[in-house]
Order: sequence, then structure tokens, then C-alpha cells
Amino acid sequence: MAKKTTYRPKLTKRRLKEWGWGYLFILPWVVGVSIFFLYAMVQSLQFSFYNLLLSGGIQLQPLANPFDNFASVFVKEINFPVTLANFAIGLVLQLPIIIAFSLIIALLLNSKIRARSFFRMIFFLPVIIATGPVMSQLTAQGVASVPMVSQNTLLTVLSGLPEFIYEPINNLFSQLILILWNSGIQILIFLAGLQKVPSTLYEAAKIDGASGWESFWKITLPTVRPMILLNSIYTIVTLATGGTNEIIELIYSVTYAATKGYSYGAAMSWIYTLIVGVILLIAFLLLREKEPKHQDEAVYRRDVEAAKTLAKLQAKNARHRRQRQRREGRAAK
Amino acid sequence: MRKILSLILTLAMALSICSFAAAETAGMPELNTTDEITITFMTWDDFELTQALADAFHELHPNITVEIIQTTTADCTGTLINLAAENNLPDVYFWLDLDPLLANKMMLDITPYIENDEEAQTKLYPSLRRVGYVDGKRCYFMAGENLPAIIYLDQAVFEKLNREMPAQDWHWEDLLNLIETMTDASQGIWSYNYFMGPVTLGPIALTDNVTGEFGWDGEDYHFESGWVEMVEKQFEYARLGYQAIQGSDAYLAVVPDDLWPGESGHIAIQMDAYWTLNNIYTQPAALERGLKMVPYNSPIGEDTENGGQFSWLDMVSLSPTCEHPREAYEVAKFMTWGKDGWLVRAQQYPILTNEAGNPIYRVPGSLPMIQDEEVNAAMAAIMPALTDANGNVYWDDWAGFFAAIENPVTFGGRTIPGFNTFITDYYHGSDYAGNTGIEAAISAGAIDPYDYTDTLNTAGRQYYDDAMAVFYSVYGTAE
Repeated sequence: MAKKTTYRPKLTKRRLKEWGWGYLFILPWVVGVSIFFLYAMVQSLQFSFYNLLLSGGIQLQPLANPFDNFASVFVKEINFPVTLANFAIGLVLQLPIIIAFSLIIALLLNSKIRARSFFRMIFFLPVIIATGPVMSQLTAQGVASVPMVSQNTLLTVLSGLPEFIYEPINNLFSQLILILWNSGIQILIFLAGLQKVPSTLYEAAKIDGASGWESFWKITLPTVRPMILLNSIYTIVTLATGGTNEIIELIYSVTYAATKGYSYGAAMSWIYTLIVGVILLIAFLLLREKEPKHQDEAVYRRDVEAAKTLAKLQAKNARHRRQRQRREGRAAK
Repeated sequence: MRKILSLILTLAMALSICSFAAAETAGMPELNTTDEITITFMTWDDFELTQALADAFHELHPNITVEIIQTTTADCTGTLINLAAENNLPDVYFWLDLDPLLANKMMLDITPYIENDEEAQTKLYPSLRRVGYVDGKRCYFMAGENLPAIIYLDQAVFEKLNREMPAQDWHWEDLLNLIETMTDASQGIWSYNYFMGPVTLGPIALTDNVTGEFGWDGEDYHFESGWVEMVEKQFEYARLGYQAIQGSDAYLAVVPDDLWPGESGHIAIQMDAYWTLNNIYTQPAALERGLKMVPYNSPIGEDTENGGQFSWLDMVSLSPTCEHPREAYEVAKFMTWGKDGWLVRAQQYPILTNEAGNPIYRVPGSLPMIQDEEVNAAMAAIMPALTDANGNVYWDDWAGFFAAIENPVTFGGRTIPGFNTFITDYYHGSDYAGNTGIEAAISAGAIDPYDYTDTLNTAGRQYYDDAMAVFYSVYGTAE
């Protein structure tokens, strides 16, 4: 029986240098998150177990039960479960659209077209200019909805559906342009992934008779699969924390309500964070690429995959050959 | 001409200060006139105007300097919460939401100042005199900026339909009558369009001694007064085709480019806001489309005693940690509703320019909050005569307009404890016969609003009581 080998990268000087550069690049993010985000998160967790009063600074008043605020969210907040369900349905509808749209645009922007750089800039531009006030104004002026889809017609078509389904679909159509317009980052990530695919792979596939469609499914998609996971995570986080998210608005409103307040809002934020965490975990489990445990296994899998592809292509070539021969035979008769 | 006007206004201001100083009641604490004092003032108003007011205040009180902290309406509540958490609230600050300030000790009791200020007791519009009395006994805030709801009547449409324009002192019933009779489908004219519709303005206009939305009188809501009729009428007007519905087939047939109805030239009445005059109705694009919009104050019901006129009122409070509350009160008053400040504003609005040297205001940014002939005259003098595309004046009755302002009443969220939670959770958030929100249920014909007035009154009062319990726990009870 062959002995299983575990793949461990060697700690060479070069590798250490590479790691050093990598950590240096992410250092600003780590520092920023630690100072501006992590501290605030821990503090908000602390607030959620108390009643917070602002009077000459922060005063934390103990609760009868430290989990009172968390319990109140489920007992008192009638809008929370409904808003949460709307968010989940909206997410299921919006996520595939954003991912598919980004991938298609990235493929187009990666092809050899004139003024490619200009088009790349155009698609990324909304990410830069789409600040909160700009988006609010555009949404208010109806730019976010599809011009040719009359909302009234849509309302008539969807009016038979239950409200919890009808609402997210209606929201989707009313914000379709906005959703697609917000795909700049995802396009950029896909584009980076696509540019890493060696052109020799496509050339080899072409020589073996693969069509563009086949090349997409057999070469492009497997290559950008990790990017799909990355983009899905990014999109879920963006949608979950965006300024127009109804749950965020609800958290704002309860935070500023006299009878609920900051601690209640903090508890609700943490419940929401945990729920989004679960959604992210599900997305990760569904979309992750199962890494082979051993390098041997990886090489074996790659070879098997290549052999399968080759066999399919050969079978296809043979089929084409036979068809051609039959056509030529019929023509000769 | 401008110099003469400025000179007259300066003189008037100086005289009014002298007369007012003599009129102050004996109970008002003396202003500190010797120590150097700095008062921080947080606002979202235009910096140039605020600075001009701060400079004018410093000229009158050389020992008091006003330090401006600029914010925006979007950021103000969050900023205030953060500053309070750092125990660093500005001495005087504008705000938009009452509830977070009730639940935290962020406002100073200014009762001793406002009750001993004769100008506040006699000049402020009646509805504004007691606006900040949270528990009916102690005053914690004052009106800071007045941006009234304006009903714009398009004179061009009235002329086209050969109808007479109403007088400036019109009534709510006149408005309803116009809405119900001005639609003329053959000429592509709809009666009205709204930003704030009858269901918001009506209950304020039709309830006796109203101080807030939905007929709030300081203790109870009165959904049976105004709301119940107006909520039905608002949906009925849409159903009957009196209201232009942007994007609808009927509207697109007349206005193919789907312009906002208020600037289409096909609307007789646009229920909107004061700022629309500056932003749209005095702009060349609207004039070229032939619009001749005449501003009217929101009318009050004919038989209503002390009915109100809806207005976007921004509020101003003093910090409980303020070291010089008497001086801070004087700053707050001067920078917001005080007569002296308004005479300075009347001077400044026409002459303030931006960095490029262009005038900032074609129309003054907001309107006075006091009944004062001198202020009204000064403001009427600087309000622009409204002209059509050819430069011909079609309306200039600002004196009549100012005379018709009686009783500004604002959003519940700015004056009624617990209002925002009541509206979010109960009015718009509860289930009514399978519909989320009562207006959605009425619109769908699922319920009769008359069956719900008592329930709404009771629920609204309960939200108020809950919020007041929080208020008393934070601020204590009045002695």
C-alpha cells in the first residue's frame, strides 16, 4: 500500500520574503480594523448587556438579566422577523443576478475589443461616484428602476402573490439598475481572475476542437470558481450592510427610539451579525472548492480531469468525422 | 438702493435692540458682559449665513464669541449621540429627532429663560411658544428654523381654465374644493400633486388647538378630526384621477417624457415645500415651460379654532453641560428665531455670495418664526417678485403671504414623545386585515378608517406614555 504523503511548503528565504510583503500590504487594513472597527464592535457587545444612558458621558446601568435586550428583540420587535425574511429572500434573488452579470461583463471586458480600458473604467466608475447621497438622489429620481418595465404593469402581474414573495421581487425590479450598477468590484475581481488564465490553455483546447462554449465551462469557470466564492461573500456583506438595507434602517430607528435605545439597538445588531454570519457560512460551504488533502491527490485529480476532457474531445472529433464521412458518402451517391 | 435698504435695516435693528433690552422682564438673569465667553453652536445651516449671524452677535456682545460646528441633517443625530457619549455636546445645537434626546440627558431645562423673555412670550407664533414643553411644565427646546409647507397654485393653469385664484387668507375647504373641481382631462390638466398630502396637512389644519400631527393637542391624538376624512379623500382623489400619477399610462399620454408632475405645467396645485420655490419654481427651466406658480400658506379649516399649518421646523436645544446657559440662550435665540437675528438675516440674504462671487440666495433660505411687522416688512422687501419667462411680474404679494402665516406645526417626531415609534411600529408597521400599515389597508379597501380612530388614539397615547416614562426616569419630575 502506497504511503500517504502530506504536502507542506518549505520555509525558504524567498517564501518568507513573500509572506513579509503580503503581511505588509494588509497591515493598513489590520491596523484600521483594530482601531476603528474591532474596538467599536467589542464595545457594542458590552453595551448590549446593559442599559446605556448618555448623561455627562456614557453611563452603563445593569439589567435585571444581562440578556434582556436580546430577549426583547424577539418578544417586542414585531418588524424584525418580517424584515429579516424580506432581506433573506431579496438576497437569494439578487445574489445570482449580481454574480452572473459581473461575470458576463468581466468576460466581455477581457475580450479583445477596442477601447477596452475605457470600458473597464466606465464599469468601475459607479463604485467611485456612488456615494450615499448620490445614490439616494438617483433612487429618489427613479434612476434605479428599469426604464422599460412599468412598475404598474409589474404590480398587476405580481398582485396575486403573497406579500412576502411579492415585496422582494418588486424591490428587485425597482432597484435592478442600482444592483447592476453596484457590480464594479465584482467585475474587477472576476477580471483579475480571468487575466490569470494562461492563453495557451484556450489555444490547446481550440486545437483539440473545443468550442468557445466548451472552453468557458471547462477552462474559464473552473478557474474563476474561487472568485465566485469571493464575490458571493463580498456581495452578501455589501447587501447586508448597505445604507438602503431595511434591517440597518430598523436598527437605526430602534437605536433612536425613546423606549428602546442604544443598548437595544446594539443587541439587535449582534443578532443580525450572527444571522449574516450563518448566511456567509452557508454560502462558503456551498461554493467552496474542496481542496485535495494531498498534493498527490491533486495531481491525480488534475490528470483524471484532463484525461476526461481529452476523451470527450476525442469522442466529439470522431463523431464529427463520422458525420462528415456520411455527408460525403451521401453526396457521392 | 441696496445700501439704503441695508442702512434702514441696521438702524431698525439697533433701535429694536434698545427697545427690547428695556422690555426684558425682571426675572431674566443678567447677561455676562465682562468675561470672555465662547459658545459652541452646531448647525447644518449655510456656513456663510451662520458666520454672518455669529459676527453680528459678537458685534452686539463683544465678550461673547460664537464658535460654529458644521454638520448635516443626515449626520446630526449620530453626531449628537457621539458627542454626548464623549461628554462634549455643543452648548447650542440643532436637532431633528426628539426621542433620543429624551432617553438621554442631552437637553437643558430652559424654562427660566423662555418664560422671562417677553419677546418669546409675545412675538413667537402661538404654536411655537410652548412647543418645547415636553411635560407641559418644563421647556427643553425652541423652534430653530421654519420651512413651511407651501401650496403652489399655477396661475397659468388657472388662466387656461378661466378660474379665479383664491385669496391668500384662504381656508382648507377652498383647497379641497379646488382639488375636486380643477381636473380637466380634455386639456390634460390634473387638479393636484403632492409632496406632503392631505393626510399630513389636513389633520393639522382641521383640529382645534392642535400642536402636532394627527390632531395632537399636547395630551392626546385626535384621529377622528381631520385624519379620517383626509385619508379617505387622498386615496379617493387618486382613484378619481384628480391626482397626477407619474409613470401612469394616463400621465404618459399627456407628458411623454414623464416629468415630475409639479413641474410639468399640467398641474393646478402642487402641495410642496418652501424650498421648491428656490429649487424649481424660480428656475429658468420651469419658467420656460410656462409655469407661474404662486405660493400660498397651508390653509386652516374655516371653523377650526387655532388650527395649524404644517411646516418643517428644525429644533434647537442647549446642552445640560453648558457653562454659560444664559449667554447660550441668547445665542440660540439670535441665531434662530429672535427679531434681532432676523433683521440681520434680512440684511444678509441679498448680499451673501459664495466663493465664486455668485449670490447664495435668490430666495431667503427660511422664514421668520415671529409675528413682527418690522421683520415681515424687511422680509417682504427682499423676497423676489415672481416673474414669468419674459421677465413680467405675475405675483408679488409677499406682505399678504406673511400676514397669512398663523400657526406653524411640525412633524410629530420633533415634538411628540414616542411618535416615531408609534408611526413605525403601529401606524405603518402593524397588520390591518392582512395589510402592513393602516394606509395600505385603507388604500386596498380592506378596512374602514372610521372603525380605527379610537384604537389609533389609544395606541398613540400608549406610545406617548411609554416614552414619557423614560423621560421622567432620565430628567426627573417637575418640582
